[in-house]
Amino acid sequence: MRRYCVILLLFIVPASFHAQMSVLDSLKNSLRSVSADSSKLNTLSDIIYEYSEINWDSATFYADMALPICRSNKWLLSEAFILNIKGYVLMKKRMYPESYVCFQSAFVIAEDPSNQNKINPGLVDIMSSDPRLSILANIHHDFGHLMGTTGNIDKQVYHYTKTRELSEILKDVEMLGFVNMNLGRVYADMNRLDTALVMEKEAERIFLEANQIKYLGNVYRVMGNIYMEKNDETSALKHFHLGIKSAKASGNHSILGHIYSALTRYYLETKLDVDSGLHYSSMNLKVLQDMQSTDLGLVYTNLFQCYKLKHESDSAMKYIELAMITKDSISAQRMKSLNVVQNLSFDEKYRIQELEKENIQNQGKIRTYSLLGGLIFFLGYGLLLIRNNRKKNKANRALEAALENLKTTQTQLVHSEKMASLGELTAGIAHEIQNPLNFVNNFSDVSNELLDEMALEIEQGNYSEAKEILADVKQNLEKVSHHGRRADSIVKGMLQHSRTSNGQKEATDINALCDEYLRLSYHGIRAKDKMFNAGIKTDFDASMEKINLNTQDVGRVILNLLTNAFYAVNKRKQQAQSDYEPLVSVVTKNNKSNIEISVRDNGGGIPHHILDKIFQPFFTTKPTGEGTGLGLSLSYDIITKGHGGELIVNTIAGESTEFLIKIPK
Amino acid sequence: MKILVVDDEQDVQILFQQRFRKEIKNGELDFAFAFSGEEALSYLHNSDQKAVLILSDINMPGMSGLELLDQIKTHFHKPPPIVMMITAYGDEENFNTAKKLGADDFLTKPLDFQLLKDKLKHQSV
Repeated sequence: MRRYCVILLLFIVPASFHAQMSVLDSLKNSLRSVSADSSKLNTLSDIIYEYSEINWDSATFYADMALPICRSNKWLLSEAFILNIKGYVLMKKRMYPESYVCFQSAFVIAEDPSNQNKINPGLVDIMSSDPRLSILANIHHDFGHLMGTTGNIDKQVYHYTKTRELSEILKDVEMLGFVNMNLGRVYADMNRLDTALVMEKEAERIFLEANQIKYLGNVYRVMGNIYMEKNDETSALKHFHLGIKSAKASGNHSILGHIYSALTRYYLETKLDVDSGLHYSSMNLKVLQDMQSTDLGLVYTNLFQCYKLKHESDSAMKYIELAMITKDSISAQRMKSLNVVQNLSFDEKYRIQELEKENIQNQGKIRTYSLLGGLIFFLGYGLLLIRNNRKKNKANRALEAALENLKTTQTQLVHSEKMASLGELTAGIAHEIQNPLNFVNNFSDVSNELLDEMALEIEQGNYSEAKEILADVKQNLEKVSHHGRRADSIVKGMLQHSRTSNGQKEATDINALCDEYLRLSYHGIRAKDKMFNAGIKTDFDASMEKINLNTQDVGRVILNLLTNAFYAVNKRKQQAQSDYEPLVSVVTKNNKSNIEISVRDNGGGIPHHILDKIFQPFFTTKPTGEGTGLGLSLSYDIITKGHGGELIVNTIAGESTEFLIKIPK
Repeated sequence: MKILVVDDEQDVQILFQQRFRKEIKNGELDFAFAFSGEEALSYLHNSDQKAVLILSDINMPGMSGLELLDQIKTHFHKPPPIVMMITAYGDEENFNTAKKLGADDFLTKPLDFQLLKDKLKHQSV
C-alpha cells in the first residue's frame, strides 16, 4: 500500500495513534458534510488509506462504500484504485481468493489505455502526470505482495520488477522506495542478504528524503531481520528499535506488531531472556487488540512460551488454549473464504489445496490435544506466520534438493535392478557355459584318439574302418564348433545384458531369444535353490520371422517375466499340497500385424487389489532386499515406450498369471 | 556292467559312445541314456538290471539330479545302485547336498574321461 493524496501528508504527520484517530474522526466528519460524489470519494479514499494498517474491517467497509460511487459515475480508474486498496486489505485479512479477484478486476481496468481519463476529478490534480500508469504500478506492487504471501515467489519478483519499471517511467521516487523495500525483503527470504541490505538501505534513503515514513518502520524491521540472519545482533537490535520509533511516529500498528513479535523471538531464542520476551509479546498483544485483529495465533503462542519458560503453568495453559481457538477459527475462516470463490487461477487452486491439507492436518493434531503436541504444532505455526515466505523458500530449496537426490537414487536403482538381474543370470551362465565347454574339450580329445586309431587302421589296410572313424571325427568337429558358438553366444548375451542400451534395433529371432533367456533364468533359479524344479512348456511359432527390436531390452523383459514366473510357482509350491505341479510356459505367436510373446505360470496369481500397482516403480511383493520393484516398471517402459507395444497382464487369483507382450511389426 | 547316464544334453550320448567305443565293442560296458530325471526313474522301474551304475548331471529341467539321487537312495535297495554325481566346478553347495543324500562319488564338468575310466574299473573290480 501507499498513498497518492499528498494533501493529507501536509496536514497530518501523526505523532501517535491518538493523533491518527483524530485525523480519522475529522475525515469521518467531513464525509458527513460533503455531498458531491467527487469530494465524498476523495474523503473515502483517505479514510480507507488511514484504516489500511489500523483496522482492516473498517478499511473494507469504507471501500465497499466507495466502490458504488465509482461505478455510478463510471470513474473506472478510481474503481481500480479502490479495488487495489481493498485487495491489499483482504490479503491482510488472509482472504486470498477475494483479494486475488479484486486485483484481477483492478488489472483489467488499469491495463486498458482507453480508461485513461475515467477518473474522479478530485484525484486527477493530486496524482502524477499519468494516473493510469501510476495506479497500474500500485496494483502490480500490491499484487506482488499477494503472490509472495501465497508462496509464488517468482510472480512476486515479476510484479515488483514491473512496478519498478513503471515507477522509473513515472519518475516516482517514493514508489521506487517501496519496491526496493519489498524486493529487499524477498531477497532476504532467498538468503541473498547483501543484495537485500543494499535494497533496504536505498529504500531508507528514499523514504527519509521524501519524508515518507509510513513504511520506514518496515524497512528497519527487514534490516533487523537481515542482521539477525547475519548474526549481527547489535545491528539487528538497533534497527528493530529504529523500527519501533518510526512505526510509532507514523502510526503503522501492523508493522509495530511485527517488530514486537520479532523482538519476542529474539529475546526468547537468542538471549533466553524470558522477561524481555514477555514484555514484547505483551506489547504485541496490546497493539493487535487495539487493531481488533483476529490474527492472534502467533502472539498467543509467544505468550504461552514465555509463561511456560517462567513455569507459570496457569497462564501458559490459558494462552495455549487461546492459541488453539484462534488457530481454529482462523483456519475455519480461511477455509470458508477460500471455498467461496470459483474460477481462480491454477496457482490459487493449488494454494487452496495446500490450505485444505494444512487444515485437515491441523484438526487431526488439535484432536490429540496434548500439551506437548500443542507446543510443537503451534511453534511450527508461529514460525509459519513470521516467516511464511521464508519457510516456503526453504521448503522449496529442500524439495529441489530432495528431487535431485531422488533422481540420482532412481538412476542408481535402475542400475542396481540391472545388476540384480545380472546376478540372477550369472549362476545360470556358469552352468550353461560348463556344458558346451565339456563338449568342446571332450569331443576334441576323443577326435584326437580317433585319428590315432584311424592311422592304425590305414596302416593295416582296413579302409572301411578308417572311413567310419573319419565320419565320426567329422561329426565331432561339427559338435566342437557348435558348442563353441554356443558358449560364445552365452558370453555375448551376458555382456550385452550388462551394457547400457544403445537404443538400436536389430533384426531378432524371437524364438531363439525366448529360448536363451528361458534356459538362463531357469538355471539361475536352480543355482540359487537346489530343490527347485518346474515343468517348462514351450510353443514357439515356427512361422516367426525376424523382428526389428532392441534385443537386449526385450531380452531383459523376457528375463524379468520368467524370473517372476519361476518365483511365483516356487512360492506356491512351498505353500501348497504335494500334488501341485509347477509349470511355466512360453508361447510365441506370429500374427499379421504384430508378434506375441506369452509368459504364463500356474503360481498363485496376482491379488486384485495390487493389480493396478504392479507396473509402478518400486512396487514389489518380494521381501526387502530381494526385489528392487523396478523389473515390471522397466519392462513396461521398454515394451510400450521403447517399442510402441503392449504389456498385458491376465491373472486368475489362486490359479495363474499370464504376461502378454505384443510388439507391432 | 550296466551304466545309466542321465543328462539333459543329448550330445552326451555320442560323446560317451565314442569315448567308450572300445569298452562297448568288447562288451565290458553297457550304456543306457536318459535325458531327464523322470526318464531315468522310469528306466530303473522297468529294468531288472542287476549291477547298475548311475552317472547323473545335477542341473536339469524338471526333476533335478539331486531329487533323482534322493529317489534312488530311498526307493531302490536291492541291490543299491552306485550313483555318481556330475557337479559343476566349484559348486560346494551341490557337492555337499549330494553327499548328504548319499551320492557314492563325484565328477566335475568338464568330464575327465580318463579319471572316469579309472573309477569305473575300480567299481567293476
